[in-house]
Amino acid sequence: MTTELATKRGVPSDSFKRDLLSHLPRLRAFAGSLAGNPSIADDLVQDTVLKAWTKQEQFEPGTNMVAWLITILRNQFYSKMRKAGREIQDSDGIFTDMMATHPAQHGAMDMIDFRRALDTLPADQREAIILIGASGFSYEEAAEICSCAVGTVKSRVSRARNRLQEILSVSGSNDYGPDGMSAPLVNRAFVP
Amino acid sequence: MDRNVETQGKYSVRLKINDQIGAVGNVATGQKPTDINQPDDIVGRRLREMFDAIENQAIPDRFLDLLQKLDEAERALDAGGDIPDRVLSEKNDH
Repeated sequence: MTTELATKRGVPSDSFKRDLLSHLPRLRAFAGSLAGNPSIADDLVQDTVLKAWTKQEQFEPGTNMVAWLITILRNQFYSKMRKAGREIQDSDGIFTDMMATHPAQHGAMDMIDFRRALDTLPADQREAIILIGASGFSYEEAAEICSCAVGTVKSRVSRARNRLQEILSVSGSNDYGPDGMSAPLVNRAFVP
Repeated sequence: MDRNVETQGKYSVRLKINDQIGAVGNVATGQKPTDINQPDDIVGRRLREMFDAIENQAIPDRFLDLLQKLDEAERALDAGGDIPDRVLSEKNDH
């Protein structure tokens, strides 16, 4: 797809921008998962592209460019959050548009429920579970991206996952394991 | 029934993996071992579906336009000029 687009638009003049272009889908997916609102997410990606371009001499060729870009993106995200004084996410309603292209393995409603559940998590937990669960990073890479210990990432992922599973079970959209009624009881029964 | 047997098999494999990576899961209490990256982990699956749905979208024109502007800016810099203001000022124009 990248080649096709590049041919249509004119190939970026150097390998840095070509690589940047090839990583855009991953960056957009990370930003969209983290921020919820697609418009805010794409603003984050755009800021990231500009920042990466101005700092490109700091990138060491041969190292993981996606990790470098994601690090920039999350810094932009937290910086925006601090400026806004609140979490920048507002996914209600808007997320449905993004689901138009979604393969209907589950209903769009399930996906919206999941999105809402994800948005209830603290940003650090949401970020950790997206990095480990969907973006394909190792715990070590995620720890470097988040500037924290590997154990911290593990604990954030674990807490995020437990919380999401709890919400999904209660909302009855879980199609595996205990049903919505029994799940809270079953889960509780096994806690030592 | 078959699925249950199969699933239990997967969990026993998972115990070893989880021991290595230190993920949660408690053998003594019978609590299901969990790993967000397992293909049948419901939370992991939902997360990946959401992520993949965005990743598979076409790249919006605004990014292709931006990369073109960066190309132009580099040419201007090479020619001894400054970065055209519009590259940075139009960054949120979409």
